[in-house]
Amino acid sequence: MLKIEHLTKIYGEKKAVDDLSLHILPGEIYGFIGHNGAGKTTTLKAACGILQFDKGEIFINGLSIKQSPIEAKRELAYLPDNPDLYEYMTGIQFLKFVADIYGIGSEERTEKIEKYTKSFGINDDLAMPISSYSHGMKQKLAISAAWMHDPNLIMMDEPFVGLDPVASHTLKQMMRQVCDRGGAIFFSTHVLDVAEKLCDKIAVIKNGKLIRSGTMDEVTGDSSLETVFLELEENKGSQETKEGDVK
Amino acid sequence: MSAAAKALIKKQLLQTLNSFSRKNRKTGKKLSIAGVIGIYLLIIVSFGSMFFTYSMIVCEGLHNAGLDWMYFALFGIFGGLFSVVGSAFMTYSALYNAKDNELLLSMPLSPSLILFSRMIGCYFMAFTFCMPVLLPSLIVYIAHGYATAPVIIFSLLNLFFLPLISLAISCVLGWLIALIAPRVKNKSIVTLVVSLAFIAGYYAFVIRLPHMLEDFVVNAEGFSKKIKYLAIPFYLMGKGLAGDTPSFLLYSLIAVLLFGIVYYVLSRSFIKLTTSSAPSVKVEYSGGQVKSESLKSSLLKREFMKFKSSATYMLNTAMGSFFMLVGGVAILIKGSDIKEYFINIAEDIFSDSSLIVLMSVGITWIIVSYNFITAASVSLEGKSIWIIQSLPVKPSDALNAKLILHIVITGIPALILYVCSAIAFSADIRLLLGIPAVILWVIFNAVLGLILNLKNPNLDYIDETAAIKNNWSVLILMFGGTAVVVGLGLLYVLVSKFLSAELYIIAVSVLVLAAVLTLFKWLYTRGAVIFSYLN
Repeated sequence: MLKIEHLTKIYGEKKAVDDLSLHILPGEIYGFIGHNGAGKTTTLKAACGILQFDKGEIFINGLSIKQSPIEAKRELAYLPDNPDLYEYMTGIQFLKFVADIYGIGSEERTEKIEKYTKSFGINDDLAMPISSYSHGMKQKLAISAAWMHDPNLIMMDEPFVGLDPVASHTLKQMMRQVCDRGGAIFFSTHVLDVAEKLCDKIAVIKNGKLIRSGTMDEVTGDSSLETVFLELEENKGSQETKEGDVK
Repeated sequence: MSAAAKALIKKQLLQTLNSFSRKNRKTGKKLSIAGVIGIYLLIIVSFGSMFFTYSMIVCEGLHNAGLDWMYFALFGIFGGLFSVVGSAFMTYSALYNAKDNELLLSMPLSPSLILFSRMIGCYFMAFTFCMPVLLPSLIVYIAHGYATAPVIIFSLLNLFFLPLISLAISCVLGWLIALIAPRVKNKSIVTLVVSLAFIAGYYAFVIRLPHMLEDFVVNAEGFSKKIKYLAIPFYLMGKGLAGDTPSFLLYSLIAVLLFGIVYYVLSRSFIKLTTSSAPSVKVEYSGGQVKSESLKSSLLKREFMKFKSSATYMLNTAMGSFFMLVGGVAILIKGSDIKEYFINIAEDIFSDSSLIVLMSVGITWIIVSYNFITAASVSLEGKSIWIIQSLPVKPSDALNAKLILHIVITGIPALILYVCSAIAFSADIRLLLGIPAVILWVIFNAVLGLILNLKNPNLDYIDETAAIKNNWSVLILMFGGTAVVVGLGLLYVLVSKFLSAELYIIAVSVLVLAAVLTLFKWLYTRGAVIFSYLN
């Protein structure tokens, strides 16, 4: 579903992402963890086609994000770490705009808007301007918009930040449903407990390099994800990717 | 002064200075201090020249009538008004709407100290607005040879006292705005209407001012009585600046006291006003069928929604449309008078239909250059640019929506102005020649503005005004457009012996068309790539 091959992104003289390769298969929830500034957001932005990269190639469901960006973007949905939405629109206007872009029919969009916004408890607020929304409400609206066109791949940067426990639970269920119908989820998080419980696979990035990836068992063994992560962070020498871990 | 107070004042002054200069995205360099001073001097000179002319009109007459004090009082009133009008909204934003109010209030700082530091920044702005009025009036007075040492000393001191009075008035107005603003619905439309009414009033006042000043000199005795009783501080200021030391001392005391009283009163309500939020009325979503629309129409609607949501956007980037509409209607109503006036000046030009067409095109082109909607439209995507970038939207479609907004908002008023002026000056069928020229110029400006903004966007703005005003694209379009028209006018003078006005319009239109096609080619290739990856 998502194939990242030798991705390299350089800012000035600093390699933000260094020769990173990842392969996410349909049905997988793939967690992406790493310290602040490790290169998670850069990788996610490059994968969804909003950041140019220097080397490598990224394929979404077989479509190159460089060569066929529009077709590739039809397959995916992206949610940034901070949901900066159009403050001059109301919630319903924003959802309608996104539905128009994906060409979702009138009946289908009406049904999906109701389904997702009701599950997050923001349906009654849709007539209000987004500028009046709290951070959590904006996040819920952005998630509803992202799910509307049934994307095959959903990439999210810290999706649980700002969500209340009920909304977090709803989002986790929605993520699992995407995978159950053959889609895939790739998301970054600092909440290791969530990653451990939710993810089928995990990738750890440090200073732009992928230092560990695989199934949860492969990455953690008998330890907890937190223990492994802290060990990897402390171990300066372990910056090389373990061959064979990356599928 | 405590360390906290020093730190706060330093932060405020830096903030004020930073609003003049933004970092270049590519070089990371900021406008130098010399650059800031250069812009500051340019503002003072451009406004100062206007008040210089007004000073010249009244100086000698009032001096000969023995009313020197009224000369200074008059320009004191002008300076105060100019400063209040120019800085009232800024004072409101700086005092009550600053983004860091909550952060500062959470620190161990007294609200009155926060207010004081903000007022120092506002004082700097008030000072900036008073300068272009007070300095020219003093220079004119000295140039006439009327000035004595006390006049010069008191006038220079007044550069610092008058801003205290205007700041006090601006603060009270800002306080009123802070009280009313949260209760106003459709804020952007209300602001637009109030601002347009104010601008119309301002221009009506400026146009009539020279005549008013002449009347003022003739009826100086009558006006002097009114000022004495109705504007005592300005009467004392006038007397003081004319050399009367006790009057100046009393005036200075009043200025300081007025500022002190306003500061004391505002510091009492500062926390309440800065932390109060609008009483929001919740509108519940009623559901129902959500209709679908085409991608292109939805993108265009998005641009219009953004445009009409912001009075700052409308006022700063589309003022030309307002002038073109008002101008078109005025020309139709007063057409015969205007035509007669111009025929008296240059009968050869204003009796020749093809020259009228040429001039109407030129005038329309200049005003069209004062609209720069596209030149701010990329910057105004701001931090939400990720939405359009991550959606399956061709960059060319997103950019076209911005162009169409500009072309519609500018093109319709431009055609109205052009046709009205050509008809009022009795142009014949040849007026049709100018229509493609006007449309092409509107498109040229739209595409050029968009390209300039793509090359130099400001997506990280905190205040929308900075994304719109603090923008080189805007300056290039405004001054570049006027320069092109003046250049083409001069070129016509040179080639008019060999080329008729009709052929000249056609030739220039073809050139603009070629430029438009070249710009479009860049926009849809390189420009589209830039837009896709802006961050």
